[in-house]
Amino acid sequence: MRLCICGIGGTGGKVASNFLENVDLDSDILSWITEAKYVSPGRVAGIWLEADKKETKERGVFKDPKENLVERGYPGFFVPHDAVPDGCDLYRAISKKYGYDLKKQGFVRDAQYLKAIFEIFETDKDIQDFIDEDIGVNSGPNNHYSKMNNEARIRNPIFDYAWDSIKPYTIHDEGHSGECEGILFIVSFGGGTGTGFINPIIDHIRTSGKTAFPVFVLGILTQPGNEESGQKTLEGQRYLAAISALYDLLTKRKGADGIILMDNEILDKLPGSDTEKKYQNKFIYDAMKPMVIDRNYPGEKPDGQGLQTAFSKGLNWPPIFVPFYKSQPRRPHPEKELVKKALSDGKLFDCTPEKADKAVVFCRGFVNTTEIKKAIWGQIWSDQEYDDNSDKIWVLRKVGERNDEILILLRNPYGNDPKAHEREGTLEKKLCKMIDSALGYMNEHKEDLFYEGKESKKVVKTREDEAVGLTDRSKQALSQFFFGKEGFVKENFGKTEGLAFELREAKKRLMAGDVDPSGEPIFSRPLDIFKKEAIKETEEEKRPQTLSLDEEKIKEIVDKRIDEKLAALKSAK
Amino acid sequence: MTILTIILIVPVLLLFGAGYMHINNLKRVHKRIEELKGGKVPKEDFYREMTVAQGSNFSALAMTAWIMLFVAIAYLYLLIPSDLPFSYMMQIPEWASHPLGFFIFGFIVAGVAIVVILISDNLPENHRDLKLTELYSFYSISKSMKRNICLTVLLLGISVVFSAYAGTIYPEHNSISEALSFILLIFSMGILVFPIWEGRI
Repeated sequence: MRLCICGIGGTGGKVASNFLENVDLDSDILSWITEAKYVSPGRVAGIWLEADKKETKERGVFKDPKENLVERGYPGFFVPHDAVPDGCDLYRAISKKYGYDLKKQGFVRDAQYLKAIFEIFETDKDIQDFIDEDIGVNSGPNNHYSKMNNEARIRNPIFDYAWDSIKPYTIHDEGHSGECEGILFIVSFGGGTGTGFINPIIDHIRTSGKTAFPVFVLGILTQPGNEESGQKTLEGQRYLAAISALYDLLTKRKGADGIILMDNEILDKLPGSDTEKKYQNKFIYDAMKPMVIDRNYPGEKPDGQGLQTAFSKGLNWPPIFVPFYKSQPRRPHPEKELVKKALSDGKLFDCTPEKADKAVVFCRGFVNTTEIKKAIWGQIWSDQEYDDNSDKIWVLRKVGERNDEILILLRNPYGNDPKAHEREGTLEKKLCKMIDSALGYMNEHKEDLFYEGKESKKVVKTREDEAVGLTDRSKQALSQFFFGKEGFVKENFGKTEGLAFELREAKKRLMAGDVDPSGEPIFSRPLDIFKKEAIKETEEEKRPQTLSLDEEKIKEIVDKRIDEKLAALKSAK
Repeated sequence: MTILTIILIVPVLLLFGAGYMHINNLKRVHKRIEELKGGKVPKEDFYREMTVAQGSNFSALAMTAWIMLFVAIAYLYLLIPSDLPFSYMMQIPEWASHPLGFFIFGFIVAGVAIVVILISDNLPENHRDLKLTELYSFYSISKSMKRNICLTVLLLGISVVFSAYAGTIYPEHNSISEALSFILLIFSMGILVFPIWEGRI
């Protein structure tokens, strides 16, 4: 199965660069003579989505797709916000009604910002009318608005543009030239664009009717630390962004088919890691190669549906996958040692392997499937008797290079353990720490949640960096989103409703060991900033006031009428 | 017997050795995969899955390098009379003495090499191991190695020039030019067959 690699944001672009490097020699003259096509390892295809035009100057392998020759504009970078013309009525309408700047670039690219913009399009019919006027049929990277988008459905120009950029490389391309049977989004959790974009774009793909199209997310968690660690933003802000993105991903029933987590804190400890993260980004590519690269053993090539089923079968919620990766020089019968080293030294996110309910394993080299299964079973589920017919472990093998490599993706390696949050190296402890940091930030930097605090105004160098000015409508919606109907009340912080409450409840469940990936999820209910009900409320406000009656009231009125009628009859007699 | 004739064994061994190693590599990988899968795997399926896309630019330059290799070997060993039974200058002196005689020789050799390559390219899919155009399709080759392989076009060109110089001054001999031509030839050959060595099982 060929995957479309879609890097979103700075980190996504840098990591995706490694996947999409051209294996061929770079020569314009030669390419013209041989009509050479750009070829990436494993014949994967992909693009880079970025919201900040400034970031696209350091573009690596990516090119501006508006360059003359289509091939030489590949792999391209796309700025989906370009779908909205500067200063158009749509832009002004959203700005006036909500205070959100559709073309916002710069530091304000947090998860809630892009989530809010997405939901404005999804919930506000008046805004939809502006799309007809301003965007019409001439949007999208190739001035093409797909058939789907012209049908009567909610349109969202930024995310339509993004999906239109990705689609040509997938089997959903209308010109039938795309070959990718699934997408792997690569984002950072805690950064700006990627964290904010990932949920809306997956939502958009699913609401476009592509519910059976495999979509995976590789999320790289930001490392802890503040300015003293060289970070530009506060840890709490980054963890709030990360946990918000994870929250949305994990509460969408028909969302991603798998969320693969890696931790920068672990990657930064690898021998060879550097401050510019070039080594770490290359390592991420090496670790994912067994999943992404081709050269499958004959008969072991999964199709998109097969992989989707393997990843998410039997689950109500999108699963978390923790990768374990190891590469070692080729040797006879490498299975046991490879698995042992991968599980002991190759963990890329905190978790408890024994809690995993499934392992999806990608191997490169000469390995025996049964031996791999036995080795993994023996390490992880040693208390259970090995069952060769069980579908708990799915192994896919590929011909490798000089090394034997293994990538073990353990599904949902957490849960049902009240002590887990106390132990170092568990997913529960990691999430609790992130939640604490996020809640602390929400409590102490409330103004920044509405882009009014010190942090929001810190970097103002250009017009693009000017502070966001939300309207009361947006502030109210955000306040309700974060703190519930009553808004921020210090004494009741996180005790009633809203994201703060949900995070506290999630932490309680994690600490009590009540989280069960097959039943009780980490985060229980999806949250919206702008709700669809808001449209109904607005419409109801416009209609003349009518009585709103509940059952008790109806009984009261009926009783009263009966009494009146009986009284009238008595007096008539 | 001249030293050059004696050390002819080196490029011959390198060429045939590389060819044997390449066919053997694929055979061994195929056999390993069949053992690991516990059943027969058709060669066509095996070759299809083993293939690595290398890019048209590299493939074109790599083929050019191989054709240049055969030309360089011909120039070094078959241009001027030696202990070998054939030499261009002896057997076809009219062409050899033509102002473009050496170019004609080069074109003939290149032409023969291209014909052989095209014939092998038309072999059925289960004989892809014998196709020179597909040689590098079965190995993972780094970009720097690809650049080195392409550089051999230049090195072999220089080898041809040295050999042509030896032909020009014939019957005089210049051991240095012959030696340099030989060294460049062997060095380039080593680079061209290195991916096969590196990818051995």
